[in-house]
Formats: sequence, C-alpha cells, structure tokens
Amino acid sequence: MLFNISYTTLNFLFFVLVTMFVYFLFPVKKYKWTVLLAASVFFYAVVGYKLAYFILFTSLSTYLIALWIERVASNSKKLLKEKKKDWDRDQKKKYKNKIKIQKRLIMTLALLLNFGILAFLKYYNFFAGSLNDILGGFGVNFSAPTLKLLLPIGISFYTFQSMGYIVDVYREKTAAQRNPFKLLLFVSFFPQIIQGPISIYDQLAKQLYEPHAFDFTRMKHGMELILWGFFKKLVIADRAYVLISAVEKDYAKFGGTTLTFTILLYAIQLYADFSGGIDISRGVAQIFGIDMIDNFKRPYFSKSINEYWRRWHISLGGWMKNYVFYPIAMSNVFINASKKMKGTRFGKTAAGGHISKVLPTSVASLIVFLIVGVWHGADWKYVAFGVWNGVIIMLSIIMQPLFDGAVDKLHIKRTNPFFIGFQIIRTLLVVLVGYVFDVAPSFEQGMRTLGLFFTGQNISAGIEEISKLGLLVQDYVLLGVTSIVVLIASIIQERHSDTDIRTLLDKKPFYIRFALLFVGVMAVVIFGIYGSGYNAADFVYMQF
Amino acid sequence: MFQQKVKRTVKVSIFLLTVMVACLVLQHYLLRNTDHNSLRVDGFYQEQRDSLDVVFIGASDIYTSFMPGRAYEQYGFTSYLLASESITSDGVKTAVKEAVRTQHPGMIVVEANAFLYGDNDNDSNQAHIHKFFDNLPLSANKLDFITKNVPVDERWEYVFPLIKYHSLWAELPERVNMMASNFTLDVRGYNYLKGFRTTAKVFKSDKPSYNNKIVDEHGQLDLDSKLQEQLMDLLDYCKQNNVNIVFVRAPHFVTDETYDRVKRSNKMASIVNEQGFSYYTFENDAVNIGIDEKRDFYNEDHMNVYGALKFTDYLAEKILYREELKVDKLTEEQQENWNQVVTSTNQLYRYCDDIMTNGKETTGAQEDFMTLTALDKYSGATIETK
Amino acid sequence: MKYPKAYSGIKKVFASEILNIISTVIVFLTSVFSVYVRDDVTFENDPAGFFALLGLTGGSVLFALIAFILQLVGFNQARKEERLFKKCIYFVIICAVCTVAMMFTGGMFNKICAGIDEVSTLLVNVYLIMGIYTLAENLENPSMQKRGKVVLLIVTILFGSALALQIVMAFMPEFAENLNVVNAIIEFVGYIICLVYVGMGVRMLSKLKHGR
Repeated sequence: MLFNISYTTLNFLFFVLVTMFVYFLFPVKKYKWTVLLAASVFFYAVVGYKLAYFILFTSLSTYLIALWIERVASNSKKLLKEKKKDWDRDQKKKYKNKIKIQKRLIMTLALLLNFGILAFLKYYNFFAGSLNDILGGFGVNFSAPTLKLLLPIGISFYTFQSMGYIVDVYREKTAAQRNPFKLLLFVSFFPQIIQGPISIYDQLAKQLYEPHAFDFTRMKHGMELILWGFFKKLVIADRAYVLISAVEKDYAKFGGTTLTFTILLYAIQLYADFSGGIDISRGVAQIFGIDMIDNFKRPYFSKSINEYWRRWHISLGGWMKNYVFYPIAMSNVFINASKKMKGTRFGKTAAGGHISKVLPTSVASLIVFLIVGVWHGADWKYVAFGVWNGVIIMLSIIMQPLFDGAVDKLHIKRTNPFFIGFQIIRTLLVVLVGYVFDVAPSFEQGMRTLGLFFTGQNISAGIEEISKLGLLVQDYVLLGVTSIVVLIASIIQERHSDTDIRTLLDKKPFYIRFALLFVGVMAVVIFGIYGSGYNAADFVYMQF
Repeated sequence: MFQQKVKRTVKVSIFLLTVMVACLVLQHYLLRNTDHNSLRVDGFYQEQRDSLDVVFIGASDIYTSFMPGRAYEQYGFTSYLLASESITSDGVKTAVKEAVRTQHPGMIVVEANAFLYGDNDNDSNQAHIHKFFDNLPLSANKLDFITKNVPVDERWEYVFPLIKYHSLWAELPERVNMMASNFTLDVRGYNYLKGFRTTAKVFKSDKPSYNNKIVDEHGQLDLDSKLQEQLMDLLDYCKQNNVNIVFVRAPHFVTDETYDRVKRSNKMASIVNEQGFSYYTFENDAVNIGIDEKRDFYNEDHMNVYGALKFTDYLAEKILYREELKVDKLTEEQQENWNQVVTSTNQLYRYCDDIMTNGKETTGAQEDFMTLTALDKYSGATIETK
Repeated sequence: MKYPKAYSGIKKVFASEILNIISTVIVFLTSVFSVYVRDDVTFENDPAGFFALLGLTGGSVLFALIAFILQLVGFNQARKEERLFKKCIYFVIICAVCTVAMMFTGGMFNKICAGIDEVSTLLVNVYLIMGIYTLAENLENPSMQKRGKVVLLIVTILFGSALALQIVMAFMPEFAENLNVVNAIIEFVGYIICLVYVGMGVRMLSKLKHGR
C-alpha cells in the first residue's frame, strides 16, 4: 500500500469526503460516473498498484468476451429471422444448439481465464504442498515447486462479480456494456472492492452510471451506517481480535476453556468485523446514491443452517445460488439421476421417494458449500468447514420430513418461543463447530479443539490463561456491553424487518437522535482500536 | 423549504461542533499522556507573548537544575524552562523556533544534552519524541517537523494526539492527579514553577566522582554525525535569524561511565565557539559553583534543590552580566504573577529540604496538584545561601 | 395588528443591539485611550481622568448588561408568535455563560469557551434572521424574504472568513495584530448587516400596526 487507506482510517474518510465534493459539484451530470471511476482507480492504485494489471485484465477480458457473446447471439437471431421461412424446425433447432454451444464455449473461455487466475494465485501452493505430502507418503521423490505468489486485493470479489456478469450476458438477462470504462467501474467500484458485497450487474450498474443529486436524507443515512460499521469494526471486532490473534499464535498450548471462549468470541468478532466492513461499504455507496445489497440479516437469529446461509454473506450465497446451485440442481445429469432413483424399488418407498426428489438440491448444496469452504482459504481446514456445512444442509434437506414428523408427534407449536430458542441455539452450535476450523491453524488442531469442548474444560485454568491474552477487565466489560447494544439493535431491526432502523430513528425527536449519534461517535473515538499503539486488525475477509 | 434547509444546516453544524469540542476536551484533559512534561510545555504557551527575557531549552538536566523563580527574585529577569525529558535534537530545534515565534526572548539558553549522546538512538525514541511534540500546539514549526520526520501513516496522530492516546480511558482512575493538575493549570492560566521539577533525595553513590578530574579535561570526542548535523542546522538558523543563543552544560555527578560525555561536551564547545556562540561547560566548573557531590545530587545526572539553587545563582549571574542580558520591564499584573512564582519556588525548596533532612525522599516534586497543595504549609521567604 | 408580540420583542432586540454597539464603542475608545494616549492614569496623579475612565468602563458594563436583559425579554416576547425565537434565547444564555467562564479561565478551556461563544452568537443571528424571514413569509413579503436569504448568506460567509482568519493567526502570530483588526472589521460588518435587517423587520411589522 502506498499509504494506509483501509476503511477505518482517517485517510479513507478524507478520501470519501473529497470524492463526495467532486461528485456532487461535477458540472456534467451525464459523466458523473467518471468521478466514481477516477476515485476507484485511485483507491486501487493506493491499496494495490503493484498487482493492478490483474484487475485490468479481468475487466478487459470480461468486456471483450461479453461483447463477443452478445454479438454471436444477435448475429444468430438476425440469421434466424432471415431464414425463418427457409429453414424447417429441425434446422432451426440444430442451429440454435450450435449457437448455444458456441456461446457456452466463449463464456467458458472467460470463466477459465479469470477463475484460472484466481485458482492459480490462491490455490497453487496449497495443491503443490498437498501433492508433495501425498507423493512423499508414497515414497516418491518428486516435489512440486512452491511459488511466492501475491494475491491482488479483492480478487475473489471482483472475479466473482465480473463472471456473474458474463453468465448474465450469456443467459441474455442483461445487455453487454459497450463502454469499457463503465465496465471497469462496475468491476472496481471502491466501496466494495475489499470485502464485497458481490453485486449483480443489473442491480448495481444502473445505479453506478445514473447521475445522483445530493440528497440530505440519503447522506445522513449513509453516514449513520458508516458510523455503525465503525462501531462494530473498531470497538468490537478489533478489540476481540487482540485475544483471538494471541490464541492463534500459539494455538496448541491452550486448554479447552480458553479455546471454547475464543470460539465464542470469534463468533462475535467475525460478525462484527465482516458486517461492520460491509456497513461502511454500503454507507459510502449510499452517500453517492447507490444501494448495495445488505450482506447480513441478523444471521445468529437463524433457526436452521439453511436460514443461516440465507442471512450470512447473502451476496455470496446469492451468487452461488444463481451460478452454481441452480445450474447443477437443474442439470440433466441430476434430473435424470433423480428420475432413475424414483423408478427403483427404493424410490417407490416414502423415504426413497423423498430422497430421490431432493437428491439434486442436496447434492448441489454439498458442492456449493465445498466451493464456499475452499473460497475462504487454501487449506484443508477450510475444506472441512465447507464439508461440515454442506453435509449438515444435505442431511437437513433429506431428513426434513423426519424432523417435521417428530415436532408434530410431540405437539410442539412452531411459534413457541422456547422451541424457537432451541432452534436458534441448535443452529448456533452447528455454526460454532464450523468456526472451530476457521480459527484452528490446521484440520488436526480443529479436531482436537472439538474434543476439548467436552473433555478439556477447566474454568480456573482458563481464566488464568485468558487474563494473559492482551485484554483488560475493562475490555471484557466493554465487549459485553457493546455486544448487548448490537443485540438490541438487531432485535429491533428483526422486529421491523420491513423498514430500516435508520428510518425508525428519523421519527424520534431531535435530541434523542442527537444523543444517540453523539454517543455512537464518542464510543468509536474513545473505545475504538486504532492508532499506532495498536495494530489495526486486518479485515478478516480481505484475504479473499 | 428554505427554513428546512437552514434548520438542517444548523443542526448538522451543531452536531459536528459538539463532536469537535468533545474531542478537544478529551484530547486536552482526559485522554492525554499528562505528565510533568505536558504541564511544563502547556505552561510555556500560557505565558503572555513577548514576556520572557530568557527561555531555557533542553532535557531534564536543565529543568531540574535551574529555578526561574529564584532567578527572578535575585536577578530580576523572567525565564521559562521549555524542556522535556530526554528531548531529541529535533525537539531542541523546534523548541528554539517556538521560543522565537512566541516570545522573542532576549536570550535562549540550550542545555547540550540532546547532542551529546554516543549515537542517535535517542532521536528515534518514540517516547521521547512524543513527550515533547504531543504537547506543542499546532504551528508551522510543528508541521514542519511532522512533514520532515514522521512516516506518512503516523502523521495524523501527531496532529491529533487523541488518535494515539484514546486508549488511556482504561487508565483514567490512575491518572486523576495529573488530570486535575492539567485542568487547574489550564483554568488558572499560568504556571507556578515555570517548568522546574525536582526530586527530594540525596544521592549516595558507591562510585567515585570525577568532578574534580574533569576541571582539567580538555580532551574531545567526536559527536555523532547526525547529531552534529542537527547542531549545525540549529546554529545556522540562529545566525540567519539573529537569535541570541547560549549553550550550557549543567553539572553532573560524573563517573567513568559518563566520562565520554564530558569529552563530547568539549568537542561541542569548540564547534559552537567556532560558529561565534558561547558555550559554558558548567559541568567542569562544579567546584567554582560550590557543588557538593555528597549533598547536591539526587542521581548521577541531576541535581536536587540544594544543587539547583547554587547553579541557578551562578548561571543567572553569568547570563545577566557576562552575556549582558537585556531585561524588559514588567507590568503590575506580571510582577504580581512573578512574585507568586518566587513564593512557590521558595516553598518548594523548603518542602524538599524538609523531606531530605528527615532522611526521606520523594520523586516528582513539580507543578502538580498534590505537590502544590503540600507547599501551602511552607514559608515563601527568600532562601538565604550560606 | 398581526404580530404585536413579535413586533414588540424584535424592537427590544433591536434596541439591545444598539446598546451593545454603544457599549463596544465605549470599551474600544477607552482601550485606545489607555494604550495609545495615556497609559498612566491613576487616582493619585489624575483623579478626574481616573473617574472618567472608571465611569466609562462602568457605563459600558451597564449598557452590556441592560442589552443582555433586553435581548432575553425581547426574544421571550417574540417567541410567543414565532417559535424560532425560542432557540435564540438558548444561544443567548450559552453566550452569557461562556463570556463569564472566559473571564475566570485561561488556556484551552478559555479558547473552547471563546469558540462556543462565537458560534452561539452566530446562531443567535441565524435564528433571528430566520424568525424574521418566517414572519415575512407569513405576511407574504417576498422582498423581505429575499433580503433574509441574502443577509443569512453574507453573515455565514463573514463568519466563515473570521474563523479562517483565526486559524491563520494561530499559525502566523506575527500577523496577529493586523489580522485581528481585519477580523474585528469583518465581524463588525456582519453585525451591522444583521442589524439593518432586524431594523427592516421591525419596520415591516410596524407597518402592519399602523395599517399600511
């Protein structure tokens, strides 16, 4: 980085302020988007100019290939129109198939190029290392070289986003963008480049290119969201990270109680960090009149793991659903397999009939979560994370009738608060198991941790260990209080899910709004973890 | 519609101003590394413009050995100790520029310590840099230091120390005395001791003193090249701006471990003299000053009040008569202020004397709330030298 | 008459501002005299001069005090017919508290109080202008409304310039004396412009009283 311009720095706020002034005072409305482009280019140059050619390549290849796909499609339509009377139905069908294959090949080229770069940079060393381990196990004297590879900033996010666009052009859901600079803006828009959310072209692009006039309410809401993001990130997440990073440094030496506490704290830290960063991104975008998808909807209130993944990292889930899950689940392979299974003796039973029906969705879910796991990082523990979530979802889909039957037989009311509480806690426990593999340095350590949950608890030893991990009593009190604040805000937002908490706040008297916002700002100023005295914890998802 | 816009603008402005004022209050009073250095530097900026005849600049060597109250009482000139613990060479340069900017004093006296280290590690010691610079108000000189010496990523916290020290919220209960001292000094608007600080202790050394030996020491050791460069820079500045600057080396309890500093001091003296400025090696003059090695120090590097009194008289005379210091007339209000300073200084002397005579000791007898409160039971009459 | 209380209140505010100007002028003349003409007037060497200066100083304090009370009473009266004047009362009180605090403190605390005092003074003027503007709007007086916008803009710009100058002075104290004079002129001009508008407001409301 040329200088530190990460989201929670004064430099970034100053940069946003300058961009705001230039954007809203820009005289030519039609070209206001160029201000956002210039800002995004500047931002990327500061954070990662050395590897900027990767994002430029992605943008250019996406631009050219999308145009190519569209040209093939439009040419084919033209020809079909010309030959409408000359060709019979079979000829037309054959031609359409040919064009479909051609388009698919071109799309595949784009996917291979860009996902190939991502896969190589992110996973080459992992696979090389694993291969060396396997070959070494067989006594083979060969070792694949490991390379010093650096990851361009935001590569996972912008690659997914631009490949989503390519698929949408292929599916003719959206027209290809003719202006390469506009496409570059879509790929590199600065509020989302570091941590997402991963946007759909149709949803984001129109807003990016439209000129937006200054709107006080929108600006106010954007700044409130930024403040909320700062609060979660600096006061909660970065504070909790002090302990988590201390544990991660020497993971193996800690006992069960410490590790249990660390995982619980990690759940808070991860949510606060990621959602805080997203809030800052969304708040900044909102100032410019751009509404980005909310990536989190109170995920810890989920009653099932399915629901959890619909509330956590929503944009990644949405991307996976649109571009991985549906193509797999609705592919001929799985539909035929499902039909085949239904035709067997087992398939004619009640259980078999249900399983054959949900087979495509459950297997597709497993594959999706395998990819999600691997997306998080190049390590077997992330594979385990993905497999764990995938298997749970797959099993929950398959065993849904059993669960429903049990609930009915026990005459449990689904709206009973205790039952809802049980579901929430059950889901949390499943999620926490997944987090174990996030925090543990390796798969083996993750398994050891799970064992220690049950056999390694020693409260007094745990307290003794925890007291030496860099946080004071005051920090724990603060973490407790601020977590409760976030919980209360989440409950309020959950109860008023049809509106935004900021709109609710607007209806309160001025002095209440003033006091709340003032306390919020002061909380960040006083209790935030920033400044040279602390190493500001890197955004957890920045490594992706 | 227009009224809505105006109301909105007013509300937003009030909010922003309230946040700014709150941050200023936090930065200046609560979340601040308040210690004797900050009280000293703050006090300097509270002095009326162009009201000081002499400004003393340096490290603890000078703020423990010179008593401005005593100098005023005996010799009639006003002075202030713009000094900071282990001040860096950049700190000395900036302090000189600040003294010129705000006071245009008749003379600036620099204690040589910052230039006499064997290497330039002190200049990159973050604590020593912050102890001085954090307490300077924002000015062109401070910004000059920041842009030339501070890495880009750390600059914000030099401009807004709150960024560095906001985490002190966890230590507020331990800092109540200093916070109270800071607030009362600020509200009062002037400083009772003009930067003087001491420790009530009589140093008993198991090592022999070389103070007699160094009288005849003319040997020289080269200064660290970076520190010498800084010194030359300072001397050039003083020449260009006609600053009447004098360098001194305060008395120390010299041992074999600190002997090299004596030689470096001799070297510095020759450099300074070559450039046409005065350098007084009072360290070599301890005998003439009347310094009693067994009584007048609280550690190897610093004198206690007994030594400080003698040294103040000696140095003040040199400044007034040898250097022909011009002394400005004071207004009635200023005279009243300085009379209070004299009283407080004398009270502090008696307070420390009382402690040391009873075989006890206390560190940090300075411009803080608790010390000032303890002075009330002591007389402020002139201290007669024997 | 449509707004008798507002008329009466704003008239008192106008009168209080005139008294403030007189008080300021007296203080200014007294300081100029003490600094530049004779700085050695004491009871012993010039009793007449001493008492004259004392009288003038006392007079200026008295005028300022009367002005303060008149302002409060005026705003209190006017707020019964236009709510915006109520905010003026809050800021007038804040100004008074800060002025008193400044007399007894130094250092950063004094500077903070001075800053709050300046901003509060500006806000008193802003709400006063807005109050008159709203009355003009209700009375369908477009020329007064337009003037109100212009005056508000000028007053805000002048305040911003004064603030900018103070920041410059903090960095370049060698120019402080000259910049202080410029600052005083800027603030005085802003003050007069605001006063003229208030006077127009009084006239606008008085016209209604006399049925014109």
